[in-house]
Amino acid sequence: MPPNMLEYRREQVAQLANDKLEADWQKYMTFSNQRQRLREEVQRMMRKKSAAPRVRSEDIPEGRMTATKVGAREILLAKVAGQIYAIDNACGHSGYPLDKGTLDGFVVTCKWHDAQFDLRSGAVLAPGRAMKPIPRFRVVETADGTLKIGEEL
Amino acid sequence: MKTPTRADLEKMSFDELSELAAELAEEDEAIKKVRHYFIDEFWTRMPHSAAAPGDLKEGELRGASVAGKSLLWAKVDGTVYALSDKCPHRGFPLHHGGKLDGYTLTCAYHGGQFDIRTGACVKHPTETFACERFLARTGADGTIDCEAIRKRD
Repeated sequence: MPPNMLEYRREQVAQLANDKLEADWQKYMTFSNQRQRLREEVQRMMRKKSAAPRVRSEDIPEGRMTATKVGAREILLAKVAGQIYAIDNACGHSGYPLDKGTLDGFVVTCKWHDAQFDLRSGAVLAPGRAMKPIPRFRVVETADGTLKIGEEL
Repeated sequence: MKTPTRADLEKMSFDELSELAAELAEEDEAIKKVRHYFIDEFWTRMPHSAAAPGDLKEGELRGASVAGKSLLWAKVDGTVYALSDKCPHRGFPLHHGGKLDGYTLTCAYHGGQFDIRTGACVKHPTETFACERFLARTGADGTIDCEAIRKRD
């Protein structure tokens, strides 16, 4: 195996004996999974930095989005026609923060790969694969105007 | 690229994290490329046979290209089942490291699970796909009639 696994060439892989092919594949998957976990960690940190500890309803202009956190979770808050909607801020496609994307009506479009979700149902509108809907939450406005995230709907 | 620790990530600004995420996404393209050299090689080394395996053991999984189709053969409770060997999730050869537990087949790549009888997806982290299934008929002498292999509805 080359010192940097990313430098493997197709011809080199094709020449490996069966057991070596299997062993290198296992090593390669371990490396690839570690990078995947790092990517997820970076995306989680991006969501963390993007979340405000407290959000008041009046802080969100009509048709705009912001993010807050509840426990270990970051929640996207959006105001459409005066009503506040709350969904998980992690894009169901790759995990980037959805609040950095755009809002058109009830449709949230992720800034990174254009995945789209419906705020009302959490339904995935794009990409057209059978992805799980994004989790939705109840929002309660407390007496001091701060928004409190309730249970998952 | 050196691997940042969680503490390193904590200290980074949103924009720095965003840049790192972009670098990791670029690296992922290189990772994918090499990963596919391996996967392509697994396909190349899959046995081609004129006839389907007649000597399948109970609970055994075997990949064989039969009549121009890459098929996964399995025998459970004396019945031979045939599924498309291509995992519907990412096209990984299901025979490569796949596990069979009762009628549940688990793909070694991302852990997608399929019912060997119907091809239905039993479990997947984010998406659900059905696995293409084929009809396998065992003749009186125990060999599998390749002519009878056809796609089910």
